[in-house]
Amino acid sequence: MSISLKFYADAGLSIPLTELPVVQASDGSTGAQDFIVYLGSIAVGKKFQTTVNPGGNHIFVTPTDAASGAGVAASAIKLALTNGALAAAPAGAARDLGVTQILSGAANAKPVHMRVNAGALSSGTYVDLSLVVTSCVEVSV
Amino acid sequence: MAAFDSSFDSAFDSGWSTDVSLPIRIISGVIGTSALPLTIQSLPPGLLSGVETLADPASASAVWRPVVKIGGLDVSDNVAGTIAITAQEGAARVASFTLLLAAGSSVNLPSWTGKSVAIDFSGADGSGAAVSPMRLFTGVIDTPNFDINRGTLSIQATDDLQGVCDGLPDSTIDSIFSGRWSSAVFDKAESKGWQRVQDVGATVQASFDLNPYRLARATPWLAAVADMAFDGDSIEDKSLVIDLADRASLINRVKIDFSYRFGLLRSMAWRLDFDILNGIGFAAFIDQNRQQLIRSAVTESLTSAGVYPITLDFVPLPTVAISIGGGFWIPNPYTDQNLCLGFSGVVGFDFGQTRDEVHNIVVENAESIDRVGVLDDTMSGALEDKSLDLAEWEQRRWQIKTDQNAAFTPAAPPVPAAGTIASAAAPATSETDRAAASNALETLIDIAKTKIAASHRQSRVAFTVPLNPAIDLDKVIAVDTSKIGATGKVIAVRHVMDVDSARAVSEVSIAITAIAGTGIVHGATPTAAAAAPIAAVSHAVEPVIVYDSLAGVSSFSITFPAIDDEARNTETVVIAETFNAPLIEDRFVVTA
Repeated sequence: MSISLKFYADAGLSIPLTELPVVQASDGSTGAQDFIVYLGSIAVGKKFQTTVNPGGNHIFVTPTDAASGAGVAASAIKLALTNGALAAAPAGAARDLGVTQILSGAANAKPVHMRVNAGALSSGTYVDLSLVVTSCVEVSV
Repeated sequence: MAAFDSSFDSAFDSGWSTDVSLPIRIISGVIGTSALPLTIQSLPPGLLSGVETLADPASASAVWRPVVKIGGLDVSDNVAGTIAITAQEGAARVASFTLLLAAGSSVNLPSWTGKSVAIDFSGADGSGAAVSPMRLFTGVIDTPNFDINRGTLSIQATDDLQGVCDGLPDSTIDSIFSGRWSSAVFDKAESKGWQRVQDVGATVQASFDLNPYRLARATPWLAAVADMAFDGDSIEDKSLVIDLADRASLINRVKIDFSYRFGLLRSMAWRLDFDILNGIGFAAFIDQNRQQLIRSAVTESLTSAGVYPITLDFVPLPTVAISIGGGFWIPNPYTDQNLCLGFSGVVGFDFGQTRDEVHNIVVENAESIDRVGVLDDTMSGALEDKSLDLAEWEQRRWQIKTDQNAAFTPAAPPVPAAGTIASAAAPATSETDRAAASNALETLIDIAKTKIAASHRQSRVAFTVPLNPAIDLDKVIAVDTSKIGATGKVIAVRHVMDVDSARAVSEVSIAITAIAGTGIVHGATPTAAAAAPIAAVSHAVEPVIVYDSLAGVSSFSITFPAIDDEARNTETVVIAETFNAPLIEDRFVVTA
């Protein structure tokens, strides 16, 4: 049984994201692309807290590179809580969502703004990057 | 060796002790990590922009293959015949293809329905592996049909546009469109999901669809700058077709009748100046055996007329002895304070009036009317504020003004100046107030503008080119052949891949807005609702004050004239306005 906290394409949590497609020109001419995804759960009456020190530690979203040194570096990703904060966000850094728990339901979903700028890349498909959320425990409210 | 020093032992021995506890909190639940993989597709700029395509037979390196995945499993090798993906403005993107099933394999048909489907158009390397795949479709299987005789499974898949929209909250839909929505125009209970897309979309000159990755988007109809261009060499022979909009389908004038009924809180004021001496002097007045005016008679007269003092000053009696004939009039402070020689001030009367604000709006495109004559349509709407019962309010105003102990405080009208009637709109709810009325009106105007624009972009230029996955509903395409020069936004595209014949084409239709001439911009009047002013007006009616001051028969009365019907009965205010509906014509030149 997996945790029901997932990423969605919309604030209503109606379109679950199993992957986030980013299409760019290999010469890097596409430039930075901004996305907004929503972290939430459509389960009823649940809350999500960090596995370590539940209710005490903040929940983070971290750009993770599964193939360090190859593919695309995690520094291609900037995360922020607002679109306006993306410019100043440190590249490749984890983003503190500023909460110690997330309640289920669309109204409680946390928007995560992301800017992807991989620069020039050889033509191909790169799947080494992902956004990973701090390990959480899902319990009833 | 002693475990504790002597002092501790001493304390312990004397009986002092405590318990030390450490609560252990066990949280039992599902533990896991959420992750969102990123798939970064890096493509040659030429493919991404559509300048090049792997399906172009003129290109020596043109090697393509479809990549079809069902439930994440690559089934490309099982595809037979034709794969077709159709995208159309405002409609679900659909895909159809056929799978050859291995003879003897077990098929659990019901389990196929709802499975995810992804279709890419891809290049291929020497080993046949996919290179530079570009997404054409993401959706779910709608209908799997098994042909028992052929052993094939025909798949009909959809991006489930309507279903996705039904799951979207209002705020998401509204933010995608940046359009208008009004509870006075649309059915609040029904305007959810897909219906809200229709409602808000009707106010915006843009199309709505899910992109090849199944993400919602709105694309403006405006085709200012072409994203891609095709000439006679790249367009398949004899595929170029023009389909002009017929006159009857055009709309160039929309008449909107909209009424907003709401309450006005009004207050009418009179200036009162009354002198009982009337120029004869106090001594003569008394000598004629006349009676001073009782102050309460004045206030009671006002109250009985439903009138209240805004300002009211009584003229006091003399405070010194007055010589009269052979004697004196001696002031009596105890009784004189209840009497007066007259009064002056301003009094008011509150009443309600219903206003019907009737908007006769015309939204039109004059250039189109000049070209093809008037082709009109009508719309109507109404909004009524019922949040305040004016008759009840009037009664309560009278009570609050005449009974200081009244427990309620009805909304007050503006304080009028003497000789005027001041007015203010009655308090209303956020769904029936002035802002709501303006929003409803502006929503109707934008719907009218969109209707006119939509009817003028019904001409089509259709053509077929080698499959170009960059062609989608968000693209503006320029077509230049020896016969046609046109630029328009893609309104429909059908990508077809025939894996048997190796033919891959995109059948494209672009929408053309054209009436008067190429590229003419017909300006717009900004959408802004007008409102009739609610201003103070003067009145000339005066009350009649009668005072018979002879002692023994004295009487006092103030008679206020009835308020004019014009001021009290329902008032109809007509506002007529004309708005220019914008049209930006697309380039469209035909050479015989």
